[in-house]
Amino acid sequence: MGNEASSVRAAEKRISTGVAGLDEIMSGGLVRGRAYLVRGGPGSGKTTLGLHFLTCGAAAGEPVLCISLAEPEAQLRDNAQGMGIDLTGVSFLDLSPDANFFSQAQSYDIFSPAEVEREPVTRSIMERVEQLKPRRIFVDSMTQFRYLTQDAFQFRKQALSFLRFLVEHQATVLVTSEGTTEAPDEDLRFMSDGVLELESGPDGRRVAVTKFRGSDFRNGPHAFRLGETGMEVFPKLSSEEHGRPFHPEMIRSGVPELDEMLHGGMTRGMVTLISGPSGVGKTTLGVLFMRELAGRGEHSVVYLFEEWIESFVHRCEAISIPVHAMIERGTLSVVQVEPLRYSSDEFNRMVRREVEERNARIVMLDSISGYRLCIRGQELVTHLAALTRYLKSMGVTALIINETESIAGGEFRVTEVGISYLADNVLFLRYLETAGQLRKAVGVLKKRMSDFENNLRELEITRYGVKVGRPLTNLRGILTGTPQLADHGGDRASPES
Amino acid sequence: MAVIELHRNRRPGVGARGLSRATTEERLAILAVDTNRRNLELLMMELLDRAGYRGIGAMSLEELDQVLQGPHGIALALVDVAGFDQRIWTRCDLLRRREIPFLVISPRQLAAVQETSLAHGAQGVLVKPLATKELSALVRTLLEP
Repeated sequence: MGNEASSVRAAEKRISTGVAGLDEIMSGGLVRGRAYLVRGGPGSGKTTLGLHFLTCGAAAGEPVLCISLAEPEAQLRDNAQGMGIDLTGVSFLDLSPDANFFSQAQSYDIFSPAEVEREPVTRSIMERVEQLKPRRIFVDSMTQFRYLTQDAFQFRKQALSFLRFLVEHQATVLVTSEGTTEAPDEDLRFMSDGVLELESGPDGRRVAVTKFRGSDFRNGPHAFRLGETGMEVFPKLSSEEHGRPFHPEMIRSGVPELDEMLHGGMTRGMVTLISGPSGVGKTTLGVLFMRELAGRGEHSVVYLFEEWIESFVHRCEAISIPVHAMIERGTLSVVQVEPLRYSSDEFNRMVRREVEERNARIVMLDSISGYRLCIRGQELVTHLAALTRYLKSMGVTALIINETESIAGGEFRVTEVGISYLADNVLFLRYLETAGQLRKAVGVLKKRMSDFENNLRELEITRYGVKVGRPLTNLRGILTGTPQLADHGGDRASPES
Repeated sequence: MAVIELHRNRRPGVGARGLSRATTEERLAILAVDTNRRNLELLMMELLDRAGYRGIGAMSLEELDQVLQGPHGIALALVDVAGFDQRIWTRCDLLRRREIPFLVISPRQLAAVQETSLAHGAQGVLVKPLATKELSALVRTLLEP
């Protein structure tokens, strides 16, 4: 009861930033009646965030005020409209210099601007705040104030008393700062109750909370996008924040011999790596497990990083896996992921939606090299580890398709990207040469929760479906990458095997 | 003729000495010379007007001559030399001959301007940008009897 009451009180104190993903990072939003700093270079999205913050309050009927010191109101309104942000109910105090400032040659040098301009600026802000009594104030940007004070000490004093004035008028305040080397803004970081850093680099835009007084927050950076609907934040996955109970039952492939090899199937909530050369049947093997779940009405999702959806559907249908019907019944989602379109955090957000909103029970990534492209050159293992940890905590089975580069020969390796330790189970597929014919074989290399069969079996993919044969006991050269059938009673124990 | 003249009442409580003068007789006149209109306005507004002096402005040598020819009762002059040529120094000499104390305002810290100003009778040289508080304190000191 006491806990409930205190959590209700905590929720009352929080107000939304206007950006759902950001609220999630900030444990529910901004603490009411505090002052926050948004830092970032030009074009990093500071103003967009500020406008979201204001419109969120305006939509709830709160008086909100935008104090613009650089950009004129008309321009702000235009830009907001372009991003689909509705500024109805947002009041503006436009303190940006107008065109007359230049044309009337009103420049002066007898006194410093700090002496001349500060007072009228301060006066109009005070008057407006006292008259409107806004609950949310966005100041864009504080960097302009810096030029209205003579030195760093004066600025600190002025800025602190300015923020205090706004907060004492019951407002939650968001101020922006450019933080350039000419005008470093450490002082503002010290005096704000929270700091949000926005940056945009070659690998996309990122936001990080670096300070948040009186609240927990999720360490960043997190990806965000500025698009047609304004700002969208994709919080980084963290398994501690998620998790739901699940029963670690077996998921079968529906092919009795394969399930036999796995001693009953794959345990739910585990990560399985399906590895092998091109065209050997990795995707097909993964889809078998999804078909079984679909039969029980459970939902799965496949992310295709390389193949087209049509080709995937056609390929599965050609071997009697009714993917089309599964999609129609809603037991399978097939999602085409264009390389370089999403950041890993955005991709994770998509996966989370499938898991949390559509209750997906198997997530298949086809393939790892496509996923690597998707995360734009960042640390593959770190990102994949975060994703698989999340999926495990949600009891979702992850199937990761890995294509080995060498079709035959070479050293036996599970993957070429060093991720096999992330996998609880490893299924490997190989080409097999017998009597001048290329055939396929499947084997289990690792299974964390139970024992498994350590023989390879022949795999046949025909138009009637997937067939797995009896254990191949007379193979040699498995570790060379190209196993071969040994002659009966021949050199099965030869040293080179 | 574009002589700017401002006559405002002194605000109560500012500069006790000046206050008695201002209430008993005509306020002291200060001449401000500056080629930049905005500078001149600011000098009048930020300094003279607030401190309760009578401000007379001149933006060119001609205007300055006009002011000095007529009856003016100027107690102090502030001369911003930026934008003027060498002839401004002859006007400085004139101010000295008329026993009008004056301060030269220089756009930069220049030894040449400093030396020339003092040689032509300036009470001192101030470098822009000026600080209003210091300037009014200095003016008050110079105008003390």
